[in-house]
Amino acid sequence: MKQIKNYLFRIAALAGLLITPFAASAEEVDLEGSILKFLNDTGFSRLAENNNWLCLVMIGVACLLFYLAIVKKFEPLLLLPIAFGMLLTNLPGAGLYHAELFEGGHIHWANFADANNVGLLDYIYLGVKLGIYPCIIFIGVGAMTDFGPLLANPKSFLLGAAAQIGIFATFLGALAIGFNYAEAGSIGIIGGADGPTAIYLTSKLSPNLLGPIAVAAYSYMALVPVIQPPIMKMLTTQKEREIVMQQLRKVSKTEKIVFPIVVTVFVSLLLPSAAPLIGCLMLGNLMRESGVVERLSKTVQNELMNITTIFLGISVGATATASAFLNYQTLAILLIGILAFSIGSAGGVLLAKFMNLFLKNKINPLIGSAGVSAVPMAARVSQNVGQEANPGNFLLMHAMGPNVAGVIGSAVAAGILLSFLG
Amino acid sequence: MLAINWSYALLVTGMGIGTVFLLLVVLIWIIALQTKAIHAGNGLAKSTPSTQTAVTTDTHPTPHEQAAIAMAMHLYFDAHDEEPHVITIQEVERRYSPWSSKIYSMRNMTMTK
Repeated sequence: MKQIKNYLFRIAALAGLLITPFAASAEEVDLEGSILKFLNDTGFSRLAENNNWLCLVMIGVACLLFYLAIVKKFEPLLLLPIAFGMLLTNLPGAGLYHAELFEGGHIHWANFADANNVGLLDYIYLGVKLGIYPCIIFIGVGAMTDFGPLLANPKSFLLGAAAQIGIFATFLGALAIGFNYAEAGSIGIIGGADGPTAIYLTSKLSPNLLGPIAVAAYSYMALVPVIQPPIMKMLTTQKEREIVMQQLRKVSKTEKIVFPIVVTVFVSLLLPSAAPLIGCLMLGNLMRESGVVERLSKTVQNELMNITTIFLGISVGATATASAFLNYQTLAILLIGILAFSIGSAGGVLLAKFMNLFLKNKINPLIGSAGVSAVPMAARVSQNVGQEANPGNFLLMHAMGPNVAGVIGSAVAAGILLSFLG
Repeated sequence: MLAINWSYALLVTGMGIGTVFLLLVVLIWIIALQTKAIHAGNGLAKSTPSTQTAVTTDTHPTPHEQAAIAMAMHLYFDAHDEEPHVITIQEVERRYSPWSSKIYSMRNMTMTK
């Protein structure tokens, strides 16, 4: 006991010796000023400055997206990171994202030299700005896509093309309500129902709209089962919905291997601006179909795609700052976006009906709506609506043809818009 | 709205839709050629139309197959069992030993070459 007391006494003496110099200089420090500075530096204090209260509204929007992703399960893989990126970027004082580094659609590399003024999300956003993430995701999408139904029924390409009408109709609509060419092109691509393509094109044409367009594209893709069925039913008769289609032929492995190579060469030669997207899509598909690089195929389908999805989601969400998101443009984009989806879906169904006028073996017009990419959600909707009309009808594999054709079609449409408006 | 050059906008739209259709139509043609070439390479070029019909079978699944597919889809889409999320296994305190751990025996994947 005596030893313990002795020991404690020694510790107290040592602490006293260490504190003495600080206590001596404490008189020089303005304690009140320091505390005030600390309080002024907090995010709560900054909320009161200027228009920073709008950040609270954005945090509310982020919470709404959390709700949609977690409770309603609307595209949670992307909506959740997007919402979190939105939350992070709207925390006053955190300085995770600086829009001024990317002002005017350019990366101001010189400003990256000052590490104190660059946030974590600025570095991550470079992947979007340089067009890296959407292309990597396209490699994964290609590795997960089976083009067999499309090869078995190449006519599906036409339905995939018809669904892209929504993109161009929306382009005109956006121009009419006051957007410029580049912005209208970016808004139009929402109609392609292809998230990576929308992000890729928007990051090139009008990066200021990246946040609202990404949110609109992914939200509406999740709402495909709600948006499409009324349009499909409105444009078709009960008899048309009951059409049973011929079974698809078996596609050989050689055909599946040659297809990505041929498409890459042909599309890239005709439309070089579409080469990054189409090339990556077909690279992933070749990995899958060749069967000789299973490890790579597995990696791009899972690990690489998941990592990129996290970065893409967070950085796209980070662009949704209060000043960029809370304006009439966002509202207009959300309204036109749903129009783009609807026109695209209707275009596919109507072309399928038109094709039936000339075809001996009729196709079920319901598969036309799957021409908007949204893989495989749109194909599932065709299957479900088809089975409502005829429970013995299985349209899923038939609808997968236009569905994957839509992926190629939207990438081509993005390339066209980029070459005209970029 | 008046500042928009509508003739240019319509040109972009027309060219865009036209190019998408043209490109995909040409792809249909290329796929058809590719299929023919591959079949020719496999010695199927001489096949008569009746043989081709055999490749592109237009028979529907039999009622039994349809029932099996319908059941599989029903199970996949609709009929998941609701899990109660209650663990009912009674925990038994036991000192850990790798010799009795199932982790080292049950969950190891077999090596495939």
